[in-house]
Amino acid sequence: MSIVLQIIAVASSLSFLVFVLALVSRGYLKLKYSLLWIALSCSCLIGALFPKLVSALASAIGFLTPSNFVFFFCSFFLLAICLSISGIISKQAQSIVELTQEVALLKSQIDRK
Amino acid sequence: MCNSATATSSKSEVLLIIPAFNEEDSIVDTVERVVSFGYDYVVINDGSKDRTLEICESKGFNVVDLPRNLGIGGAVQTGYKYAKRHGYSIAVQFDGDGQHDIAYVDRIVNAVRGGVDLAIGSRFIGNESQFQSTNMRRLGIKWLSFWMRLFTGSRHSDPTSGFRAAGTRAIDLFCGFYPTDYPEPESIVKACKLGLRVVDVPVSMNERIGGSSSINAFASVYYMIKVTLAIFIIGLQGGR
Repeated sequence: MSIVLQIIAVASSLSFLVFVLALVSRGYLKLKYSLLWIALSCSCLIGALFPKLVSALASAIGFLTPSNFVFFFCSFFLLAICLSISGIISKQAQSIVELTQEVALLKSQIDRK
Repeated sequence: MCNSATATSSKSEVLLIIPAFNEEDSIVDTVERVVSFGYDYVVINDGSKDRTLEICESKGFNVVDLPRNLGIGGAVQTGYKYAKRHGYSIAVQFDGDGQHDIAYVDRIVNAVRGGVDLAIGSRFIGNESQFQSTNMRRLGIKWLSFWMRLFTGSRHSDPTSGFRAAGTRAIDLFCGFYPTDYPEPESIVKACKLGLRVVDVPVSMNERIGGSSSINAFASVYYMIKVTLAIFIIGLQGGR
Protein backbone atom coordinates (compact mmCIF):
# COMPACT_ATOMS: atom_id res chain seq x y z
CA MET A 1 0.00 0.00 0.00
CA SER A 2 1.53 3.31 -1.10
CA ILE A 3 2.01 5.98 1.53
CA VAL A 4 -0.27 8.39 -0.36
CA LEU A 5 -3.07 5.84 -0.41
CA GLN A 6 -2.54 5.15 3.27
CA ILE A 7 -2.74 8.84 4.14
CA ILE A 8 -5.97 9.16 2.16
CA ALA A 9 -7.39 6.07 3.85
CA VAL A 10 -6.48 7.24 7.35
CA ALA A 11 -7.74 10.78 6.71
CA SER A 12 -11.08 9.66 5.27
CA SER A 13 -11.84 7.07 7.92
CA LEU A 14 -10.78 9.46 10.67
CA SER A 15 -12.93 12.28 9.29
CA PHE A 16 -15.87 9.90 8.96
CA LEU A 17 -15.49 8.89 12.61
CA VAL A 18 -15.25 12.54 13.69
CA PHE A 19 -18.29 13.36 11.54
CA VAL A 20 -20.37 10.62 13.19
CA LEU A 21 -19.29 11.72 16.67
CA ALA A 22 -20.10 15.35 15.80
CA LEU A 23 -23.59 14.33 14.67
CA VAL A 24 -24.09 12.55 17.98
CA SER A 25 -22.85 15.46 20.08
CA ARG A 26 -25.11 17.89 18.24
CA GLY A 27 -28.08 15.64 18.75
CA TYR A 28 -28.67 14.81 15.05
CA LEU A 29 -27.92 11.17 15.73
CA LYS A 30 -28.81 9.18 18.83
CA LEU A 31 -25.78 7.45 20.33
CA LYS A 32 -27.81 4.24 20.47
CA TYR A 33 -28.24 4.24 16.69
CA SER A 34 -24.72 5.42 15.90
CA LEU A 35 -22.87 2.55 17.57
CA LEU A 36 -22.70 0.43 14.40
CA TRP A 37 -21.46 3.42 12.39
CA ILE A 38 -18.81 4.16 15.03
CA ALA A 39 -17.72 0.52 15.01
CA LEU A 40 -17.49 0.57 11.21
CA SER A 41 -15.43 3.75 11.08
CA CYS A 42 -13.14 2.55 13.89
CA SER A 43 -12.40 -0.69 12.06
CA CYS A 44 -11.75 1.27 8.84
CA LEU A 45 -9.34 3.48 10.76
CA ILE A 46 -7.51 0.52 12.27
CA GLY A 47 -7.28 -1.09 8.83
CA ALA A 48 -5.91 2.12 7.33
CA LEU A 49 -3.33 2.54 10.10
CA PHE A 50 -2.16 -1.09 10.00
CA PRO A 51 -2.64 -2.45 6.47
CA LYS A 52 -0.42 -5.43 7.32
CA LEU A 53 -3.01 -6.50 9.85
CA VAL A 54 -5.67 -6.53 7.12
CA SER A 55 -3.48 -8.60 4.77
CA ALA A 56 -2.63 -11.06 7.51
CA LEU A 57 -6.24 -11.43 8.54
CA ALA A 58 -7.35 -11.83 4.91
CA SER A 59 -4.89 -14.60 4.11
CA ALA A 60 -5.56 -16.30 7.44
CA ILE A 61 -9.25 -16.56 6.60
CA GLY A 62 -8.47 -17.58 3.03
CA PHE A 63 -9.26 -14.51 0.91
CA LEU A 64 -7.03 -14.34 -2.18
CA THR A 65 -6.55 -10.59 -1.97
CA PRO A 66 -6.96 -8.17 0.96
CA SER A 67 -9.27 -5.97 -1.14
CA ASN A 68 -11.78 -8.82 -1.41
CA PHE A 69 -11.67 -9.16 2.32
CA VAL A 70 -12.26 -5.42 2.79
CA PHE A 71 -15.20 -5.44 0.36
CA PHE A 72 -16.75 -8.43 2.04
CA PHE A 73 -16.25 -6.98 5.48
CA CYS A 74 -17.75 -3.60 4.52
CA SER A 75 -20.79 -4.99 2.72
CA PHE A 76 -21.48 -7.30 5.64
CA PHE A 77 -21.31 -4.36 8.01
CA LEU A 78 -23.61 -2.26 5.81
CA LEU A 79 -26.10 -5.14 5.66
CA ALA A 80 -26.09 -5.29 9.44
CA ILE A 81 -26.69 -1.55 9.64
CA CYS A 82 -29.57 -1.75 7.12
CA LEU A 83 -31.20 -4.59 9.00
CA SER A 84 -30.93 -2.71 12.28
CA ILE A 85 -32.54 0.31 10.61
CA SER A 86 -35.45 -1.86 9.38
CA GLY A 87 -35.83 -3.10 12.93
CA ILE A 88 -35.92 0.44 14.28
CA ILE A 89 -38.47 1.48 11.65
CA SER A 90 -40.69 -1.49 12.52
CA LYS A 91 -40.65 -0.59 16.18
CA GLN A 92 -41.46 3.01 15.41
CA ALA A 93 -44.25 2.05 13.02
CA GLN A 94 -45.79 -0.02 15.81
CA SER A 95 -45.47 2.89 18.25
CA ILE A 96 -47.08 5.26 15.76
CA VAL A 97 -50.03 2.90 15.27
CA GLU A 98 -50.57 2.61 19.01
CA LEU A 99 -50.21 6.35 19.57
CA THR A 100 -52.61 7.15 16.74
CA GLN A 101 -55.19 4.74 18.16
CA GLU A 102 -54.74 6.20 21.63
CA VAL A 103 -55.18 9.77 20.37
CA ALA A 104 -58.33 8.76 18.49
CA LEU A 105 -59.83 6.96 21.50
CA LEU A 106 -59.02 9.85 23.87
CA LYS A 107 -60.42 12.38 21.39
CA SER A 108 -63.71 10.46 21.23
CA GLN A 109 -63.85 10.38 25.04
CA ILE A 110 -63.34 14.15 25.29
CA ASP A 111 -66.00 14.83 22.67
CA ARG A 112 -68.51 12.80 24.61
CA LYS A 113 -68.09 14.86 27.80
CA MET B 1 -77.27 -22.43 16.28
CA CYS B 2 -79.34 -21.09 19.12
CA ASN B 3 -82.54 -19.13 18.85
CA SER B 4 -82.45 -15.39 18.25
CA ALA B 5 -84.85 -14.73 21.15
CA THR B 6 -81.90 -14.47 23.54
CA ALA B 7 -80.05 -12.27 21.10
CA THR B 8 -82.49 -9.39 21.01
CA SER B 9 -82.65 -9.20 24.79
CA SER B 10 -78.95 -8.48 25.27
CA LYS B 11 -77.87 -6.51 22.24
CA SER B 12 -76.19 -3.98 24.52
CA GLU B 13 -73.25 -6.33 25.06
CA VAL B 14 -72.56 -6.30 21.32
CA LEU B 15 -70.53 -3.58 19.60
CA LEU B 16 -70.42 -3.22 15.84
CA ILE B 17 -67.09 -1.89 14.64
CA ILE B 18 -67.54 -0.03 11.37
CA PRO B 19 -64.19 0.80 9.79
CA ALA B 20 -64.55 3.63 7.26
CA PHE B 21 -61.95 4.83 4.80
CA ASN B 22 -63.38 7.22 2.20
CA GLU B 23 -66.91 5.85 2.56
CA GLU B 24 -68.88 9.11 2.17
CA ASP B 25 -71.25 7.43 -0.32
CA SER B 26 -72.31 4.58 1.91
CA ILE B 27 -71.55 5.39 5.55
CA VAL B 28 -74.94 6.97 6.32
CA ASP B 29 -76.88 4.00 4.93
CA THR B 30 -74.69 1.56 6.80
CA VAL B 31 -74.93 3.31 10.17
CA GLU B 32 -78.66 3.94 9.87
CA ARG B 33 -79.24 0.25 9.14
CA VAL B 34 -77.15 -0.70 12.15
CA VAL B 35 -79.09 1.72 14.36
CA SER B 36 -82.43 0.47 13.02
CA PHE B 37 -81.47 -3.02 14.13
CA GLY B 38 -80.73 -1.70 17.62
CA TYR B 39 -77.01 -2.40 17.84
CA ASP B 40 -74.36 -0.28 19.53
CA TYR B 41 -71.73 0.73 17.04
CA VAL B 42 -68.61 2.76 16.62
CA VAL B 43 -67.43 4.16 13.29
CA ILE B 44 -63.65 4.18 13.00
CA ASN B 45 -62.73 6.88 10.52
CA ASP B 46 -59.37 5.74 9.19
CA GLY B 47 -57.98 9.11 8.14
CA SER B 48 -60.44 9.46 5.27
CA LYS B 49 -59.61 12.06 2.64
CA ASP B 50 -63.25 12.64 1.70
CA ARG B 51 -66.16 13.95 3.79
CA THR B 52 -66.69 10.76 5.82
CA LEU B 53 -65.81 12.44 9.13
CA GLU B 54 -67.90 15.58 8.52
CA ILE B 55 -70.90 13.48 7.53
CA CYS B 56 -70.57 11.33 10.65
CA GLU B 57 -70.23 14.35 12.92
CA SER B 58 -73.11 16.25 11.38
CA LYS B 59 -75.33 13.19 11.76
CA GLY B 60 -74.19 12.76 15.36
CA PHE B 61 -72.80 9.28 14.75
CA ASN B 62 -70.53 7.71 17.35
CA VAL B 63 -67.21 8.12 15.57
CA VAL B 64 -63.60 7.57 16.57
CA ASP B 65 -61.37 9.59 14.29
CA LEU B 66 -57.87 8.30 13.58
CA PRO B 67 -55.73 11.37 12.81
CA ARG B 68 -53.71 9.34 10.27
CA ASN B 69 -54.61 6.48 7.97
CA LEU B 70 -53.52 3.22 9.62
CA GLY B 71 -54.94 0.68 7.18
CA ILE B 72 -57.87 -1.62 7.80
CA GLY B 73 -56.16 -3.65 10.54
CA GLY B 74 -55.14 -0.60 12.54
CA ALA B 75 -58.66 0.79 12.25
CA VAL B 76 -60.38 -2.44 13.29
CA GLN B 77 -57.94 -2.88 16.18
CA THR B 78 -58.97 0.57 17.40
CA GLY B 79 -62.51 -0.78 17.47
CA TYR B 80 -61.46 -3.80 19.54
CA LYS B 81 -59.72 -1.48 21.99
CA TYR B 82 -62.87 0.63 22.16
CA ALA B 83 -64.94 -2.50 22.80
CA LYS B 84 -62.64 -3.62 25.59
CA ARG B 85 -62.57 -0.23 27.31
CA HIS B 86 -66.32 0.12 27.17
CA GLY B 87 -66.92 -3.37 28.48
CA TYR B 88 -68.49 -5.01 25.44
CA SER B 89 -68.24 -8.78 25.47
CA ILE B 90 -68.77 -9.27 21.73
CA ALA B 91 -67.32 -7.13 18.95
CA VAL B 92 -68.45 -7.50 15.36
CA GLN B 93 -66.52 -6.09 12.44
CA PHE B 94 -69.04 -4.68 10.02
CA ASP B 95 -67.73 -2.95 6.91
CA GLY B 96 -68.94 0.51 6.05
CA ASP B 97 -69.09 -0.11 2.30
CA GLY B 98 -72.34 -2.10 2.29
CA GLN B 99 -70.75 -5.50 1.63
CA HIS B 100 -71.97 -6.99 4.87
CA ASP B 101 -75.60 -7.75 5.55
CA ILE B 102 -76.89 -6.59 8.94
CA ALA B 103 -79.43 -9.40 8.99
CA TYR B 104 -76.62 -11.91 9.54
CA VAL B 105 -75.08 -10.18 12.54
CA ASP B 106 -77.35 -12.10 14.90
CA ARG B 107 -76.20 -15.34 13.41
CA ILE B 108 -72.47 -14.77 13.94
CA VAL B 109 -73.08 -13.18 17.34
CA ASN B 110 -75.06 -16.23 18.42
CA ALA B 111 -72.16 -18.45 17.45
CA VAL B 112 -69.99 -16.49 19.88
CA ARG B 113 -72.68 -16.67 22.55
CA GLY B 114 -72.69 -20.42 21.97
CA GLY B 115 -69.11 -20.58 23.26
CA VAL B 116 -66.98 -19.88 20.19
CA ASP B 117 -64.23 -17.25 20.48
CA LEU B 118 -64.25 -16.06 16.89
CA ALA B 119 -67.03 -16.54 14.35
CA ILE B 120 -66.18 -15.82 10.71
CA GLY B 121 -69.01 -14.97 8.32
CA SER B 122 -68.35 -17.13 5.26
CA ARG B 123 -69.71 -16.68 1.73
CA PHE B 124 -68.67 -20.15 0.71
CA ILE B 125 -70.63 -22.41 3.00
CA GLY B 126 -74.36 -22.83 2.85
CA ASN B 127 -76.31 -21.35 -0.01
CA GLU B 128 -76.79 -17.89 1.42
CA SER B 129 -74.57 -15.79 -0.76
CA GLN B 130 -75.23 -14.82 -4.35
CA PHE B 131 -72.08 -12.72 -4.49
CA GLN B 132 -69.02 -14.93 -4.28
CA SER B 133 -66.36 -12.73 -5.84
CA THR B 134 -64.41 -13.38 -9.05
CA ASN B 135 -62.75 -16.66 -10.07
CA MET B 136 -59.29 -15.22 -9.58
CA ARG B 137 -60.09 -14.18 -6.03
CA ARG B 138 -61.70 -17.50 -5.26
CA LEU B 139 -58.52 -19.21 -6.42
CA GLY B 140 -56.50 -16.97 -4.08
CA ILE B 141 -58.88 -17.78 -1.25
CA LYS B 142 -58.50 -21.52 -1.93
CA TRP B 143 -54.72 -21.12 -1.81
CA LEU B 144 -54.86 -19.34 1.54
CA SER B 145 -57.38 -21.84 2.93
CA PHE B 146 -55.05 -24.67 1.98
CA TRP B 147 -52.08 -23.27 3.90
CA MET B 148 -54.22 -22.27 6.85
CA ARG B 149 -55.60 -25.77 7.06
CA LEU B 150 -52.07 -27.16 6.99
CA PHE B 151 -50.93 -24.96 9.86
CA THR B 152 -54.05 -24.84 11.99
CA GLY B 153 -55.55 -28.23 11.24
CA SER B 154 -58.97 -26.68 10.77
CA ARG B 155 -60.90 -25.64 7.70
CA HIS B 156 -61.54 -21.96 7.09
CA SER B 157 -63.65 -21.51 4.01
CA ASP B 158 -63.52 -17.71 3.77
CA PRO B 159 -60.22 -16.57 5.27
CA THR B 160 -60.38 -13.03 3.86
CA SER B 161 -63.84 -12.33 5.24
CA GLY B 162 -63.97 -9.16 7.30
CA PHE B 163 -67.42 -10.04 8.64
CA ARG B 164 -66.61 -11.57 12.01
CA ALA B 165 -67.66 -11.61 15.63
CA ALA B 166 -65.13 -11.78 18.43
CA GLY B 167 -65.77 -12.83 22.01
CA THR B 168 -63.81 -11.51 24.99
CA ARG B 169 -60.82 -13.82 24.48
CA ALA B 170 -60.51 -12.82 20.82
CA ILE B 171 -61.00 -9.13 21.71
CA ASP B 172 -58.17 -9.37 24.24
CA LEU B 173 -55.95 -11.07 21.67
CA PHE B 174 -56.71 -8.56 18.91
CA CYS B 175 -56.10 -5.58 21.22
CA GLY B 176 -52.52 -6.81 21.54
CA PHE B 177 -52.01 -8.36 18.11
CA TYR B 178 -53.64 -7.31 14.88
CA PRO B 179 -51.71 -6.79 11.63
CA THR B 180 -52.21 -3.32 10.15
CA ASP B 181 -52.66 -4.40 6.55
CA TYR B 182 -54.56 -7.45 5.26
CA PRO B 183 -55.17 -8.73 8.79
CA GLU B 184 -57.93 -11.30 8.27
CA PRO B 185 -56.18 -14.61 7.43
CA GLU B 186 -53.26 -13.85 9.71
CA SER B 187 -55.46 -13.14 12.71
CA ILE B 188 -57.38 -16.39 12.22
CA VAL B 189 -54.14 -18.41 12.24
CA LYS B 190 -52.94 -16.55 15.33
CA ALA B 191 -56.23 -17.19 17.14
CA CYS B 192 -56.13 -20.90 16.27
CA LYS B 193 -52.52 -21.18 17.40
CA LEU B 194 -53.42 -19.71 20.78
CA GLY B 195 -56.17 -22.27 21.19
CA LEU B 196 -59.13 -20.00 20.52
CA ARG B 197 -62.16 -21.64 18.98
CA VAL B 198 -62.78 -20.30 15.48
CA VAL B 199 -65.77 -21.34 13.37
CA ASP B 200 -67.28 -20.42 10.01
CA VAL B 201 -70.87 -19.27 9.85
CA PRO B 202 -72.72 -19.05 6.52
CA VAL B 203 -73.64 -15.49 5.56
CA SER B 204 -74.59 -13.56 2.47
CA MET B 205 -72.48 -10.71 1.18
CA ASN B 206 -73.31 -7.96 -1.26
CA GLU B 207 -71.21 -6.20 -3.81
CA ARG B 208 -69.92 -2.97 -2.37
CA ILE B 209 -72.04 0.17 -2.72
CA GLY B 210 -69.27 2.74 -2.78
CA GLY B 211 -65.53 2.99 -2.29
CA SER B 212 -63.15 0.40 -3.66
CA SER B 213 -61.78 -2.86 -2.33
CA SER B 214 -58.60 -2.64 -0.34
CA ILE B 215 -57.19 -5.19 -2.78
CA ASN B 216 -56.83 -3.95 -6.37
CA ALA B 217 -55.31 -5.92 -9.23
CA PHE B 218 -51.88 -4.40 -8.85
CA ALA B 219 -51.64 -5.09 -5.15
CA SER B 220 -52.94 -8.65 -5.34
CA VAL B 221 -49.56 -10.25 -5.95
CA TYR B 222 -48.10 -8.37 -3.00
CA TYR B 223 -51.17 -9.35 -1.00
CA MET B 224 -50.78 -13.06 -1.71
CA ILE B 225 -47.06 -13.10 -0.95
CA LYS B 226 -47.40 -11.08 2.22
CA VAL B 227 -50.33 -13.04 3.61
CA THR B 228 -48.89 -16.44 2.68
CA LEU B 229 -45.63 -15.53 4.37
CA ALA B 230 -47.50 -14.29 7.43
CA ILE B 231 -49.41 -17.58 7.64
CA PHE B 232 -46.11 -19.47 7.45
CA ILE B 233 -44.42 -17.41 10.13
CA ILE B 234 -47.32 -17.48 12.57
CA GLY B 235 -48.08 -21.08 11.69
CA LEU B 236 -44.58 -22.15 12.63
CA GLN B 237 -44.57 -20.17 15.89
CA GLY B 238 -46.53 -22.73 17.83
CA GLY B 239 -48.88 -21.79 20.60
CA ARG B 240 -47.82 -19.20 23.08
